[in-house]
Amino acid sequence: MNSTDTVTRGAAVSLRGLVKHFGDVHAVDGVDVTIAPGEVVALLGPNGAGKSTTIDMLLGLTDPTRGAASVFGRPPRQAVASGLVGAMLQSGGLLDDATVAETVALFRAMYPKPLPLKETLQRAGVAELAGRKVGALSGGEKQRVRFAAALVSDPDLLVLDEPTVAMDVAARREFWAAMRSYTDTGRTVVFATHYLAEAEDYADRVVLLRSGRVVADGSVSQVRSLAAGRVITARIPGVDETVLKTLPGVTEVLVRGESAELACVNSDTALRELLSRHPQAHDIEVRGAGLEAAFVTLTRQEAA
Amino acid sequence: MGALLTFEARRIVRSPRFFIFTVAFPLAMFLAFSSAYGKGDLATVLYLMVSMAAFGAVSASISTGSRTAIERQVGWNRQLRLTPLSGINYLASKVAAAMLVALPSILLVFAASVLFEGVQLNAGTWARLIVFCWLGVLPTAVLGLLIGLLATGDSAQAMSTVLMLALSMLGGLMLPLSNLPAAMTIVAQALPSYWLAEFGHDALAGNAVSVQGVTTMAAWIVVAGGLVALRYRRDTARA
Repeated sequence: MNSTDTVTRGAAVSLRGLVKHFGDVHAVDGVDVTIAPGEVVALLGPNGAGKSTTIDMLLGLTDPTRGAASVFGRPPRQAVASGLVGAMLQSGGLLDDATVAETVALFRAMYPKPLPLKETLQRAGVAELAGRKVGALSGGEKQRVRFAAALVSDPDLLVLDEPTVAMDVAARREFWAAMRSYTDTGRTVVFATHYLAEAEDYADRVVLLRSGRVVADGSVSQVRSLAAGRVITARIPGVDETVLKTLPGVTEVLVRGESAELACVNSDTALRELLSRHPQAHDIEVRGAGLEAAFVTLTRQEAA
Repeated sequence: MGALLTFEARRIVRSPRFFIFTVAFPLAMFLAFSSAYGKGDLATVLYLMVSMAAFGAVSASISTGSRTAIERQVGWNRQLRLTPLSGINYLASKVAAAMLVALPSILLVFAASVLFEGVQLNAGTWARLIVFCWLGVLPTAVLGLLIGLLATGDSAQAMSTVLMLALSMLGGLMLPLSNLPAAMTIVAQALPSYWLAEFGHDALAGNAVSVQGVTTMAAWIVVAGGLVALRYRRDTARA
């Protein structure tokens, strides 16, 4: 028990048995996640998986029905009030009739040890927009202003709910570059996203949620292999589909002419066996199935 | 607290609503009424001056508070909840902003009465008049904020207009109550707008403010303020 306490105290984020019910709806149904300082964690899941509700509890915007959340060993509201946490929420909005500088300066004034205004605007890539009214900005620019508002307290933990949702590809790339320079300083980041590529490219760790529960939690490659393993493609003259199906480690077979595609849970075993039985096989490729496939597999509701 | 108040004040001063409700409207009405009914009758001009200043202050404070509905709709309050800003601080800043916006409407009507209607009062009377009228805005500032926290962005405008008209008409700011049935005076005496104007008349006459007036005002502040606090808590809890 003692060691768990120590771990929890040292954690950036600790969610213990987190449950949130809205009437009969079990939005979050027992989430246990501990995030160490410096980790960049992606929260993935389909709509309704409980991502936003989990984030709300992590920020103290909603009280859990059961369980507890703590941030750097403190209750979430306290951590937010002391400026340890910066957050950017989907449903948070800015006022159109204030300028960018006025808006960020307002947030700045609320914190005990904020970053200088100019530095904040630069870090978020909105320095050249400082004098513009928020209402005159594009969706992506507004997102960056909200990013500035999240950064201004110089927080140790950043929580981002779908941060790039209104951005085009270029804006998204810029955003993540700004983000990188922040995480390189050892800060902790938790972000929810729809874009699997973002989780793949920017997260150290992926937590996959479905129906309010964690269905996978690990590095990107761990989560990927958990679900779909790898795919072997090869050209095999005179191939027999039924024979391929009996190979160890193979779950699915697709044959078109002499090209075969094998979905595997264990591609190493499957490949050794394939080569010994079909030495004539050539043009062999082994690739990971991608997070996308893992995502679909793991978040699909079991039928029946 | 200062930061949010400054932020609010800047936004308000830039908005066209500010000029319509707190500057143009009460001023135009005062000048129209006083040229129609005043005609060298100082008592009538003074009466109209206080009524129109009160009307301007009531509309300005309610219209300012009710803007909160639009801010809530775009998610601004949720954004604020991600900061250390406390609920008390937020509510106090909002009420203070509404009070601040009401001040120019009072001052402008008074200034117009000096410039165009030849009203002359000694400095002490002006000071009392301004302070009494300004403090009298507090209940309507809280009521405006209550609308802002209850209404949606769409309904806030209608709700604040109805409240503004009801308080002005029933409170005797538009028609002297002496011309109306006695029952209307009883209704008026339950309203903060009536007492706001009464405070002004008291200040002019050099009277102390009435105990009934202060009690009625205090009751409005406590009840509306309590509802605001309750509503604010529920609003953010749901978010």
